[in-house]
Amino acid sequence: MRSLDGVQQAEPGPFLYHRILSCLKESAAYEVSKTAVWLAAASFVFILLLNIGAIKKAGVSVGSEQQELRELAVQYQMLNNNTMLYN
Amino acid sequence: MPVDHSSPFEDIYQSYKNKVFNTVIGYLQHTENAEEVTQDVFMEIYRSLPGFRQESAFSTWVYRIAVNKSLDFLKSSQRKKRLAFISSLFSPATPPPPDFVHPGVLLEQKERSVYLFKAIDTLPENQKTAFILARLEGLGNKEVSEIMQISVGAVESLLSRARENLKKQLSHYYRS
Repeated sequence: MRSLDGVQQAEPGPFLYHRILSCLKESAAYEVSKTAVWLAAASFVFILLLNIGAIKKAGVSVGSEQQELRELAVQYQMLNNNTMLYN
Repeated sequence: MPVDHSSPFEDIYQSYKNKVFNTVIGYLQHTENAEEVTQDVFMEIYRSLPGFRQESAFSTWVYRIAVNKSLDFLKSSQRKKRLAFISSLFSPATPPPPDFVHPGVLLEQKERSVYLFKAIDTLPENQKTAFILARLEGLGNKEVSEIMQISVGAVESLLSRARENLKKQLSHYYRS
């Protein structure tokens, strides 16, 4: 137990600081800034909203087209809605 | 994140490099691995420095990072050892690692310290932390309690149990 009496602090190698600096530089090179992250997120949301808008608009136009077709069919009596027999 | 060469970071490194390395080597008992973890500790200090809220002393904060990084490294190397054990069943056995001799131990104590470090390695996590910080790093019980975020009484109890366990382990080594 007394073998730790008078123990000195161990020292790291002389080049460790430079290794740490180069690792920090390397990681800084790959780091993405917060502004870029926010910009990407905002672009994504914008594109998503555009898509949702386009889908909704397409849905409405498809609906109105079908309505027009139905009206046309009724007008020209193309739909066999009545169950009456031909005289 | 730009790296400023003339920043206070170099001063921090110069002031704490031995404290961090000495703590880490106490846990890892391997010089190369201790340098790797010391590097991780200083990278963490660099990244977290803007968020340091001065709720504790700066040295306490640094020691906490060093202790946590060391324990993380030990856990991951234990997982690797388990995997290596399984793979060793199907391949030739690798030789055991050489005995660890702490570079700061006095020359006449080196041989005996090998057994002590082997015994330290078997201590439970909390006892090991308390013993390394108090005996190897030479910190007071109050500082150890702040680093470990426990009471001074709890540190005393951990140290007492660590000593008992080490005595048992060492008597076993000397008998064999």
